[in-house]
Amino acid sequence: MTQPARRVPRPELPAAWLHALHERRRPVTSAEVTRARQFVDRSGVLPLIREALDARRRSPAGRPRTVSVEALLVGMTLASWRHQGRVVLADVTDLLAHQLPDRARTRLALPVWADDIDGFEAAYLAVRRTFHAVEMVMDPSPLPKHRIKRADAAALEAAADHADLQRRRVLLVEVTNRILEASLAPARTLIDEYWDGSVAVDATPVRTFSAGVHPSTEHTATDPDAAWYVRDGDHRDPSGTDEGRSRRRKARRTLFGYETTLAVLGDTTPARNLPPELRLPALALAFTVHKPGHDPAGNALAALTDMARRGYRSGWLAADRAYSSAQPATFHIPVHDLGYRPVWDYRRDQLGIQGTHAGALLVDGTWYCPNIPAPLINATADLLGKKIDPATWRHRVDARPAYRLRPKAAPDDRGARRLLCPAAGTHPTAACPIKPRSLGRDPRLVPIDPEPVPGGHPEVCVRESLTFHRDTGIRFRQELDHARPDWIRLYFHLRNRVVI
Amino acid sequence: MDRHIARYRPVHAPPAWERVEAEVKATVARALPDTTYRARDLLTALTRLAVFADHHGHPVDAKRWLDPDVVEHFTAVALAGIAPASRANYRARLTSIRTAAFGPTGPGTQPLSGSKASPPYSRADKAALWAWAGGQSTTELRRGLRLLLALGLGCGLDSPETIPLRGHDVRTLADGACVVAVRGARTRLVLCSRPYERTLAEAAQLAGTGWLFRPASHARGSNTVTNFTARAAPDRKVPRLVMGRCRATWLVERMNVPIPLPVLLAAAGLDSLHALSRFLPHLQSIGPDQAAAILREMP
Repeated sequence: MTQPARRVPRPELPAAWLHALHERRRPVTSAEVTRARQFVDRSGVLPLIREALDARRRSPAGRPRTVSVEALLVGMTLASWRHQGRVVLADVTDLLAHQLPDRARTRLALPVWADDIDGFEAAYLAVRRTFHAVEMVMDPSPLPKHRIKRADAAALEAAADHADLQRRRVLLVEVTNRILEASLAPARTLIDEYWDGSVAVDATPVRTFSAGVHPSTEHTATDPDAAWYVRDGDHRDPSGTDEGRSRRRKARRTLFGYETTLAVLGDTTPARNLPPELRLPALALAFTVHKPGHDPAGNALAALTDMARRGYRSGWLAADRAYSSAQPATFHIPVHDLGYRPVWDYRRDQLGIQGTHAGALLVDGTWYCPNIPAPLINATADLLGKKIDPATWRHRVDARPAYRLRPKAAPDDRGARRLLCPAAGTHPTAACPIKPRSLGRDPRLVPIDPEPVPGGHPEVCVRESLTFHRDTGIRFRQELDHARPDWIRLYFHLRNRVVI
Repeated sequence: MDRHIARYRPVHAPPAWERVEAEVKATVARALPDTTYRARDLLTALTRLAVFADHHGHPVDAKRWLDPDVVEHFTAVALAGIAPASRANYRARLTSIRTAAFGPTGPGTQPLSGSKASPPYSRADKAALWAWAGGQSTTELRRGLRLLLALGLGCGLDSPETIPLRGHDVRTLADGACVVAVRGARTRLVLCSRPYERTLAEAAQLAGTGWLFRPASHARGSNTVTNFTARAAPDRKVPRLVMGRCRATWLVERMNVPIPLPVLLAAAGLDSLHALSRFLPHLQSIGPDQAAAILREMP
């Protein structure tokens, strides 16, 4: 004897909530639907999602989806336009079920649902199924989307197919950035014509609806993929004082959620040279969403790589110290190969001598003669250490270029470039006794006083020019002189457009 | 008798084992307390020698087996197919048994294996190393690496001699000369060469009575120098800083100039010229005319 099927009690939707949903209804015009469909088509995400869904199917059997992927995306696009970018599946459901014109509904192969609570629930389940199917193929996390034990989460992550997760991450970045690109279509002509390829990369936290839990608890938060975002103001000891004056510590900012890495369009053209209508706004050209503080360089690189895929040119790249401190193999070298010219700032402990090559010194991102005076090497470090005043610092930073190694030619196809000693060539910037040709030419040339060295002079002093390979000093090297006016203009101009 | 010795039987024991077993075990038991080797190592070596001697008609007498000539013959013939380092190990164990059981015999033997002589740095290498040391990112690295160069290239010290030095081991004389009192097995006084004096004097002044090299680090170990040099950023145009190569450079530079041998040996902390023979390939060659002039004009 078979048991009668148990009916699972269904939580009742509050009538007031459903009434409010009805109140928000506004008929969608055919023109709006057409625009939304054009937007989805222009993004080109449908073939990508369909291909990924087909790859996961075990057989071609099964009925077609009640709500197709195209219908879902059109509904989400319309909802996004209507609610200033916010997309809630209940609104999408009501829009697809009751607000579309009949012709559009037929075109999207949507069934007719009753305009009551049962009809809404049936439509909502169909929308949710399609949404979760789409989300599943590009979810880079193996965890379920509810609270689980931390031990179970660790076991799931250990057992996951990380190659598949990486494929999903790549698809997620491509799909989300294709949607972003579709939104940039009206500005693309202007961007291609007037933009020099300069961007700023930065990250900002995004709060989730899930409440965060302490890492020592047995269970994860209801959103197990999110994490705590903690930002210390200036990393200063709150009990410390600054030259006798008490200094209040900047508020520590903490929230539970995700982090979004943004590549923001930068306009480096001086404002006076362009009419206002041609000044480019600070548009986000690419983004990735990830756990806070996890692999900032890798996520920034993913965003920049996707920009390159979409045919954007590359120019200056301004990034803060979280990126300049990354490992060269994971950030600096790929960014260089994408064609970007970085504009870095450095941590206090990274200022001064940062590297050496054949005797040349890498000081604050620029290659200098080994006999550059020590006060010039430590100018910015001394300013931050309150050893010199800003006027002295400016004077010393401005004195550096005479000791700079000058480029002899553009880099070759492998990124290697020859640099000239400042006392070499037909137009030396310094007079050095090691290179007698530079002596007696111009009394304004900076005289170099080589330090007596036990083993003889290094290669950079003995030779006229040297090859610096792509990877030589790449972690700190930059084209502009740190703290000089050009650097200041570009770095702050680009970074200040990222209003977070 | 040690139970390891009593139970020992070689794998695939040859028929001769029955004849030599008692003598092998008795000799190893006699030698074992005075050696640093394990019983198994000595038994393996002596068994192979005993079987070899038995095949060559020697009587069952450990003193005859361990005769230096027999051991040399055994090393050259019976161990011809194995690596030089293993042959050297076998011979060292047999010599150890002979010394412990029957007393020392005669002078030492020619080494069968050993590290190759460190190639000295060229003049360009020295210049590149000095510039590389000055291009490091922290003051500690810059000072430490230049001190290593001063001690290695200017005083001919190796890592084990550098690590235990203290600040007051360096004395600066009135004329600016720096004398280093080297500690350890090769205790001696070395006069630093002039170009490195300033670096050495500054380091000694900074160190005070503390460690001369890495005064901020209290830990001393055999890897104190290599740990430090590994922290330095490498440059593909600069050879790796190795203190052995610095000492080799110092030795070769002094062997290339007319220097009385007693002075060189005393400054290098050597007892014999044996260690210098490894550097002969690195000495400057001299033309026949110049050689003839030197030999003829020398009183």
